[in-house]
Amino acid sequence: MTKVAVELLDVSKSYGSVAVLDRMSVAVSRGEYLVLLGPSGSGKTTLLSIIGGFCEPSTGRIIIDGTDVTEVSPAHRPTVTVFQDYALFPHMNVRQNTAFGLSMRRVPERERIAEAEKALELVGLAGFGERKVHQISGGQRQRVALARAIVIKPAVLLLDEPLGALDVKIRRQMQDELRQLQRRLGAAFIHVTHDQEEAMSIADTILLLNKGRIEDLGPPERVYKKPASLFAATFMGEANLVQGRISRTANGSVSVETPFGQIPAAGVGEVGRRVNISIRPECIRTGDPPDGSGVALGKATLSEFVFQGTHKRCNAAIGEAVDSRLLVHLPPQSDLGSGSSAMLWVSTADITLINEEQT
Amino acid sequence: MLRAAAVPLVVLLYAWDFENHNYWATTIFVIAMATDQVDGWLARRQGTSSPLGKLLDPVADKVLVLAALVMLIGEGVAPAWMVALIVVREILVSGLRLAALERGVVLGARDLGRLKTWAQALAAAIAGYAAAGAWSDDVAWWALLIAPITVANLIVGVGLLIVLNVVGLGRSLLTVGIGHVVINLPLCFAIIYSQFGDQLRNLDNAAHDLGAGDFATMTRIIAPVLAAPIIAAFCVSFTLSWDEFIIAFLLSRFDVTLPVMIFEMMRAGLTPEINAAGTIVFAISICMATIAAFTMLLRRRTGP
Repeated sequence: MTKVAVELLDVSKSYGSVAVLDRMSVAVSRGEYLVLLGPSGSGKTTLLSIIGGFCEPSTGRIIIDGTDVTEVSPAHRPTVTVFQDYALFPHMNVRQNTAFGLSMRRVPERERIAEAEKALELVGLAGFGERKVHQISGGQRQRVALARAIVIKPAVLLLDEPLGALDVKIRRQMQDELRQLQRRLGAAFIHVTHDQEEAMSIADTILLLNKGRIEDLGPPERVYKKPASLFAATFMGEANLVQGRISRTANGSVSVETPFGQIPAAGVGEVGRRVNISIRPECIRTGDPPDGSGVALGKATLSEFVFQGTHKRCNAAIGEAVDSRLLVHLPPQSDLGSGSSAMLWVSTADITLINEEQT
Repeated sequence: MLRAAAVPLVVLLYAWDFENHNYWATTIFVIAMATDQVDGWLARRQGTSSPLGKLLDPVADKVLVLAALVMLIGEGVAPAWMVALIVVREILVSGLRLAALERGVVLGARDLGRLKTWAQALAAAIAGYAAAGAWSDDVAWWALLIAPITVANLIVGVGLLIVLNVVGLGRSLLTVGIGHVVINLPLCFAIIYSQFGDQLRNLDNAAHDLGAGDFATMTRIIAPVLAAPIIAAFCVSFTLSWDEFIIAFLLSRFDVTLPVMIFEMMRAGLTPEINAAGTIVFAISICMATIAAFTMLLRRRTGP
């Protein structure tokens, strides 16, 4: 048994001359929670249906559990999809829906009912078996769809925007439950969403897609703190992107000339190259930088304060130029207000070099 | 004679590969077919309807339609077997007509034949535009399946009679059944198709995903979900077949259906039997409607 649950090798999909997925290679481990994140039209749902077998790739192979399943129909793949609209069978009750996969596998009725009840209990719907699909709420339908999928013990569970139709509170709760369920089952979960917060709160690994290409792939913390591309920096929350030019290079780090002066950053690149520096707004601090680990950005005038509960959001202008403005998240207890000025600095660890030019 | 000239032009345009060539070809085809109407009208108006013209006119139509259909096989829109069937039929009928001519009878393009040619022209035009990409193939298929609805029952009946004669199948209740399937199919398709959508596609995907084969998906998911439109289609077809007369009359010989029997009896004048039959039919209809209404009411009360 290999440790890899799903492997995509060089998968492309195009409709006519429009490329939806462009030569994509990804591996998902057993027991990994992978989130496919991206804006609409980025190809994430197409990728999911290719793994599920509802859509044929134009090129490339799909390997699940060490077997090439590129030509295998959805019925014979060890994958199950939870559809965005749940696709519950409206003429069956909750238990019949849950047991459908088992009855297709010719599991005897008694065992089937027991297994279905167990799956329903696992998703918190014990005792709902007799209800009709239209008699339960949206969140409960979502759970039935989950129960119906996990009851046949798939090696890979595919979830297509499973929480999109739920309100915020239930969505949070379902995120936690999905995580717990995945830990308990040990199956690989592949979850599609366009919500970066949802992605960060449940993923082991985020696969960030844009226009059919991989923008970034890694654990949420790394993808957020050290985005691999301009798109990753802006899509995963707010970011200050500072344009500059590499002025010096030294083993493993560069110095970038920016409107805020020389900023050191880890990375490589030839002198003279136009690059970007990404700094998250909450990484900018006020006061004097400690020696060695901090980079001073200059004296800024603060304005446009917005109190957002966990932080105060404001604009900082250093000098008159438009490109020397920064977005700053101050701690909520900060007593700075509109019109006040402060020295700003950032820790060298919070500076990310992006070897890409803004277009 | 304009249409004869249009034939090579249409073929050339379909074959010639430049941008939007399919649009041009189909448009010229439609215009050429439209001249047919004007042509015939002028001929009748001036009284120049000659035996030769009468014979050549439909031949020109047919060559044009067939050429367009054959070219569409190449474009991958019209299925080859369907076109082959139409071509064979046309050749048979034309042969028949020529044979008749030898014996001195001019079988002119009757209105029936003319309508039929037009139906084929319509289908070819739809397929032509589909090839050009004006509609998705789905819509073209939909239109082709629905198109027979626009053809009068009488024409369908005559057409079936010709086909049955060629195949050598005698007229019986079975052939009446085939005829009724032919006329009711488009309507049933239209009724049930109205329920198709993304939701149904997802149900179908979900069932397959959970391990169901095509047959299990059909019987356990799709048919129950579509029960209402299927029953509606059944009721409409049943009603239509019940009092359909023309096809039943044309295609049955000894096993007559009730409307045909009533028609036969009417010739002998209004007899008590007709009154009785009418009363029974009426009573059965009322009973069925009442039962249907009650089941609906009951279901609503126990249901949601």
